[in-house]
Amino acid sequence: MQNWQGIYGQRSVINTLTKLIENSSVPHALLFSGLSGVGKDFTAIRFAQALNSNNLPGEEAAVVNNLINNFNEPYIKYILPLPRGKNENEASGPFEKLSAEENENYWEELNKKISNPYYKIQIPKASNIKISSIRDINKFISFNFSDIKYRIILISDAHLMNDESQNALLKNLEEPPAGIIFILCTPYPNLLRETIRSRCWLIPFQPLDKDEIANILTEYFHVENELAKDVAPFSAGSVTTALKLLDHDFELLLDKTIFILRYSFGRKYHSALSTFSDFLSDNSTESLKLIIQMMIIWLTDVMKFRLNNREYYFTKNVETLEKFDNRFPGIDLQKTIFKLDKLASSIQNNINQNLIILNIMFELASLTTPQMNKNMT
Amino acid sequence: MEFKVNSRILEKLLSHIIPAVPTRTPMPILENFLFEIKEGYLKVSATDLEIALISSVNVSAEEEIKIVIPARLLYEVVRSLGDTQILFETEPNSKLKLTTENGIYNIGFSSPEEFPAIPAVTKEKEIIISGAELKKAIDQTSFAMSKEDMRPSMTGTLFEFSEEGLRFVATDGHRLVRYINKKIKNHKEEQYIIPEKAISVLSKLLTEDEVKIYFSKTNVSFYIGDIEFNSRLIGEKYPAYNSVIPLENENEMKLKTNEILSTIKRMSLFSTTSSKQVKFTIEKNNLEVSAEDIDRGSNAKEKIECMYKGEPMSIGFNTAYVHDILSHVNNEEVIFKLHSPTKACIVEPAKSSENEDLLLLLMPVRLNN
Repeated sequence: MQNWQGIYGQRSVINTLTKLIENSSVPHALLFSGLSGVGKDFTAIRFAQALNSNNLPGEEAAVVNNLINNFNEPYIKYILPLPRGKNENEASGPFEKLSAEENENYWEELNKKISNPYYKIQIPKASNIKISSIRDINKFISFNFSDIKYRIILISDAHLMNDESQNALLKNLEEPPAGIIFILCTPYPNLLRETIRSRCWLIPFQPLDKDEIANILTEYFHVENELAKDVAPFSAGSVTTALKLLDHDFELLLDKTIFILRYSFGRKYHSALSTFSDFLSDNSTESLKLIIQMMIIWLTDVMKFRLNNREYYFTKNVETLEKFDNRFPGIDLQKTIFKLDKLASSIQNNINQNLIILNIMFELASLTTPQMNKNMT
Repeated sequence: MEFKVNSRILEKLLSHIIPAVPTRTPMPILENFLFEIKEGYLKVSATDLEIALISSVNVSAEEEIKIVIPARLLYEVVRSLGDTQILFETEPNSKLKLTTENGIYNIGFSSPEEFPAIPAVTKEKEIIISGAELKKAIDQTSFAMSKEDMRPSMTGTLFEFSEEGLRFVATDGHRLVRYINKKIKNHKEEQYIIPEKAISVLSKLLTEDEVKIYFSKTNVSFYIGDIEFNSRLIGEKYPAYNSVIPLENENEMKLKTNEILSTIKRMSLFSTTSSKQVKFTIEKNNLEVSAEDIDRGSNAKEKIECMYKGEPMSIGFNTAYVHDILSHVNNEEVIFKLHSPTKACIVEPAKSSENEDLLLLLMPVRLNN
């Protein structure tokens, strides 16, 4: 089993893949679906290694494994979203028209990925997988590499192929030459065309559990043990989410979530607004989504407190939790969570961020009204 | 480790190797030369995984070494130095120090482990051909290779061994060229498809000198002087091109190549840019070539004398393709062999030399009456 070394979780995926290798019945196209940051690319690399270094003598196997680990062609062809170069046209190769800077930036990111397989490559302006990358696959496939057992084409964030690219991929995906294996990775398989999905063997990846997340954070991202353990439960099983939370100064994020809720319920609009704006100074929708998510988690914790279920997320703030419930006992938590969730989903509709913030505050404040009315009578 | 080499000699060597160095690539290691000193030779290699170039030069060095150096930097430095001796020394901090009369240049090098291995081609099957003959074969055929990647096998040139000779075939579905070198005979039929990039690099490397060619299942390698040129082969099957070559084209038309070529050049000015159509109206010993651009309201026709045996016929072609075909006839007179306006037309030189055979095939376009 040493082939799967370094991968956390995903036991059922590994079992399936191992069986495929053992029975020599590897399908020519696989679709790895699952949240971002659960190790899809990493598993694909280990799978490529297992396929190619199987039955090789130790030293040769090590060489091949190393080449695959470093994303070296022809063993592995790594396809990912790339920026569009200047004056790029139909005939240009995917890297041909990139500036030297963009090319170097790609190498840097790739190097980070090589040294840390859980790293998510981030290339500015790379919003989709270019059709030239797909054409490049056709060329790659056409060469005679019968001296190599398996050549893997790994398409990361496959949902970022546009319709044209997906159509261009179809022919080869259906009937690749012997020894070619396609692995498409995506968190959103439904964004792929039915024709693509139906040609692939679906391998679903599960979200990681909190210990696995904590271990990955300490081992691969050198996060302090304590902090990793604290942030893991909030990550929803995704390393990517955990890293986002850490980026936003996790400890502070917890406090701010509680502050905003408290101020809003208590109708201290000015304080709520300034805490909110303070946190969203980068104007990113990601941060807004994140804090709404945190609010929802907090409210579920309050609900658990009411139901006497002690498995909290905010384990360090149990006292606050109690105080919070005492102070706002009449709030309909379910309704609040439902409303927050609705607001979170409206973010992607390109609505003014300030409007959403105000909406959140007023929605929360309005929930306390009946309670206050009762108190007054 | 240290050795000396003349800048002009090194420049020539590097200029032969540099075409295999890719400019923008997902694999940074490929932008390097592999420098190897072994048994008194400096061997320089480069590859983009599709093609590889290797060449060597005699140097006197005591130690053996294998390092990887940024290709373009080294090449540009050596090229701009003029005629001088360069002393190469490796420094302990992974630096290669170049010393000339006036200057010192340090270039960082790295270890060769990650440099991809260049596949060795066994020398069991050896073909010897003169550089000029190979160049002619390539010049005659390469223009017809397909540029569309939907049929990968057609993007290369087919080398087909047979008892008749070595056949070079290229086609893009609209035209086809088959050039046979009858000197190289082989009792077994074998097919190898060489990709377009290799063909274009090869044609630049060829000289009058003899070329040795070796084939394996996956690769081909050409030895030209002290250069070894290696290319991956295309792994797909070449389309059965023989089935499109008609056998019963009895209507023959003989023309002066220059005349028809110059007419076609003028007609291409008048044909519509989208269809590029030109019409041949053939009657007894008289050919009328005409083109019309309805959108711009212009048209042209010319009459050419010809020798024609057969039924009168009107047939349409694409001017660009006719032009390409005619420019590769290489003879004063050209023969068009026709069957009907919808069937493939064969174009041949009126005379061909003893050891070669050239056949050009052109698909007609349907005339819009």
